[in-house]
Amino acid sequence: MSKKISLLVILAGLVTAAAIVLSIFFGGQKNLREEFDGDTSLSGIIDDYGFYDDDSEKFAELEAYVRDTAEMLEMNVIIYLSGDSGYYRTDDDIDDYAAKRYDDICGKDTDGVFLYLDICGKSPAYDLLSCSGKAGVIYGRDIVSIVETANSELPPSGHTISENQLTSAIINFCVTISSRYENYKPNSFRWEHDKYTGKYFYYKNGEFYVTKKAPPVLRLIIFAIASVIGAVIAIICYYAIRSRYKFKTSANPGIYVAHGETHFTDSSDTFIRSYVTKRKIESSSSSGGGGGGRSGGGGHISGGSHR
Amino acid sequence: MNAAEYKCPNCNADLKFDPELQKLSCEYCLSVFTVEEIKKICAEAENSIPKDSMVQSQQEFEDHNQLYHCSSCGADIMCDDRQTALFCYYCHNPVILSGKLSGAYKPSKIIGFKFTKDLAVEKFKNWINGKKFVPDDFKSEQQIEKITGLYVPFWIADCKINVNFSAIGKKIRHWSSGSYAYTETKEFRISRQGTVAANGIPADGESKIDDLLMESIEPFDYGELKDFSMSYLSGFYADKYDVDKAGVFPRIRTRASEASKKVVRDSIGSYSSLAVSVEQYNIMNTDWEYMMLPVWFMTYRYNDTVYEFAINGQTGKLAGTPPLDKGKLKSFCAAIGIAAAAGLYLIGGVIF
Repeated sequence: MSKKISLLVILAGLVTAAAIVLSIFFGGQKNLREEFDGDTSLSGIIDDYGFYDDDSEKFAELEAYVRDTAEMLEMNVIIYLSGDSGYYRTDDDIDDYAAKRYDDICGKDTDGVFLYLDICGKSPAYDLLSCSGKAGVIYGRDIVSIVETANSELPPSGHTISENQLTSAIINFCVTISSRYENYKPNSFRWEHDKYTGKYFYYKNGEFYVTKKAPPVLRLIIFAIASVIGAVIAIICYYAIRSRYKFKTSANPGIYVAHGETHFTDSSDTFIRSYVTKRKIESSSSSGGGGGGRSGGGGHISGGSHR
Repeated sequence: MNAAEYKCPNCNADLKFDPELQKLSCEYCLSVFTVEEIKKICAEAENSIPKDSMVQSQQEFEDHNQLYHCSSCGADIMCDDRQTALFCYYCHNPVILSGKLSGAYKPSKIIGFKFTKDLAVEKFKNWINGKKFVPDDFKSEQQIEKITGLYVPFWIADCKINVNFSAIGKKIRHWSSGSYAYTETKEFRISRQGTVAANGIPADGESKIDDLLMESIEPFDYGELKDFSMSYLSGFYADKYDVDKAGVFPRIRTRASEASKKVVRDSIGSYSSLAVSVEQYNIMNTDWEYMMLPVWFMTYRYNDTVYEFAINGQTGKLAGTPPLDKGKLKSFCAAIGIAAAAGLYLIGGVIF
């Protein structure tokens, strides 16, 4: 009887596990991705600073280069040159601004990048790359190095930026994201999560997904960890209960001692010596440090670098 | 040999020892008699047995017992000559009559059953109720009915133990002053020499019953010891010893040494550490007595293992190893594990 119950429980467990695994890989989930439609007109350079006001030919040439990059990457590429007329933006403000501005131009959850180049003279200057859609997965873990590649062409904050330096920074940025795009291989074990929108960005079977639900691999990992913890709990439970089914002896031979007939001819505790040792008390101290954070707009993965 | 000593003086039916009443009772006319009353009645009756009939001689013991042998487990079961043993209390296989016991097996003392079978069954049921993972048939009425009243042969030893104990004890005190921590150590030479008396250390003389099981239902109250009479065996089984005094002596020595050690250790005050240099416990004199002690006994065979349970027939103290239905336990633990895993998966799904 108990063997039948065991088999039924184990069978139920296996069926549940199989159902969970199947739902993980084949369960339907809404893909919120807005696929790139090939329109590169949304890509380009937003020159709020008016850096290229006197050189519209150069600006047009650069913008064409950016749009070519966008066409190749099949995603929107926007480079924003911050103006000095606006209010002072903190790092977090820049983060929020970049995400919001991108969404306003290209729409939420579309594939694209938004490079914010802080050239208004703020010190220290803060450059930021905000990624949306598949760009979040492709560049998400290299954002800071990509920004640093771009702003390495620029002088330290407080110094005057020349046109050549800014042009090089933009071209360098386009080259870097193109290169990383070409080298990127879709990986089901890699995903990005935006904690503000709760969205996940990942590839599954070569297709890019934006979902509210965790990616299958993450859910599989949660399932595996839950299964391991469940197994450990079951094993601990088994041995704890089994130990209660052991023989417990409570014999105490001391009860048979006849104290009235027990006599010690010698029962002495003789003091021999005493000694005192001393040691210096060591004082110890410790210190710790804090960390930083990241903020983002709707469905964006972003990161920046100070100059 | 006359059997009048076991007969009811009123109706001549068999008298049986009633643990609840601590008297001999007649199932037919409901008469009850103390052992002393029966002695007196028998002594006054014409053609009755001699006055001290209840304190039987070795010859009478030989005449009034039946010995049954279990061909399955080898147990020897002793009954009075009016009782028939149909099954072995140990393995529950049929037994065969094998003859009489010699007078050398006659115990000198006995403690009668005080804890009735109903109480023993109730005690066992209460104990088993808290155990959810025993096999189902272990809790069955059929199994519980197998609880058997058994007089177990015990060797009881009174002994003197010569104690020789020496040690160095340390008392350590810590304190701090300024930027220094101080440790004061005081050393004492501890000596204990003398004699410890241990009376009534029991050791069962039955090899088939687990020694630890019998130790676990101790102690017995020796204040209720009576001279042995076959009348106490009425309605119960009894074992003949198969381990003699020499055989149980190592156990007695170990238990006497443990008892002495406890006396010595209790006499030593609180020390931070104790370095023992000499610790000897030598048994000097041992007086033996062979007696029958009452035990409600039950065995249960499960997965080729015999599980033994015993309840002190005098005090009701219970001991035994509950059999574990591993299949049942595994199912339960698997269910717990699956539930925990499912819960964690759902929580993980909410968090991520």
